[in-house]
Amino acid sequence: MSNILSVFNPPPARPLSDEEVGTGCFPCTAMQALTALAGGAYLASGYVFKDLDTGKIDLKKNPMWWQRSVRGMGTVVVGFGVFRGAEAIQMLAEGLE
Amino acid sequence: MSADHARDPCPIVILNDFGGAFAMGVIGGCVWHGIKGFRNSPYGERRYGAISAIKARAPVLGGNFGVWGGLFSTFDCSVKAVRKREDAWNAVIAGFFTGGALAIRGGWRHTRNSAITCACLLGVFEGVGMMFLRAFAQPPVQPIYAEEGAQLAA
Repeated sequence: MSNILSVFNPPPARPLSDEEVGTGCFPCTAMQALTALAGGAYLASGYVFKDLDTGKIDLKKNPMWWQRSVRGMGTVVVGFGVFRGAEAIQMLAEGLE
Repeated sequence: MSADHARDPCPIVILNDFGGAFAMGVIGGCVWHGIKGFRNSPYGERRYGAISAIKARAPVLGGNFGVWGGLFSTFDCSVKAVRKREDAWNAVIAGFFTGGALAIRGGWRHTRNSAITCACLLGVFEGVGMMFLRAFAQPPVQPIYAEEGAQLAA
């Protein structure tokens, strides 16, 4: 079921099984790794703070603590992507054996 | 409660939501910008004005809706995977992250305000959805036993 439709028509609250959350699902793990690597690289690059026209960073809008937090978060997400990517490769290797 | 085996894996649900939200945005944009273009054009050029406005603006609106839907679905799947539970909080947390992610280029204040607004909005949607479900739920029917029926007949 669509995640957006379930906002308007919420299903009853229940615990989800490992199968439902995608444990051991290769496409889920591979897509998660790719998304985490791309999103994390974007956040960690610092491109988020640059003005599109001038290319300068407005320090009032993006103070240093905020820039460091976002870059740090991006690095953590990249690390998570690498971890999930390794898991996906392991799954693929186990499947080929 | 038993697992839902008809559920698609998350990458498919995210693509599905992205497409659904894009289509919804394009259709809504056609109606909205069609009327706007029609009204803002001079007599004799109204049909052309409506079509030009639709061509220029409807795909942009569809793209905006699609990005929102795709991001929301991505965060919803992630929150479900972490919490391993399906309830109203998933949508609220996913809405918080979606609002924040979309506004991140606007600075920390914009990110904070957008994240909180989006989470509150989704919380309201969830609440209204639950309220409607409760209001229109079938009330339990009390069974009529044979003895009571015989007494009533007498």
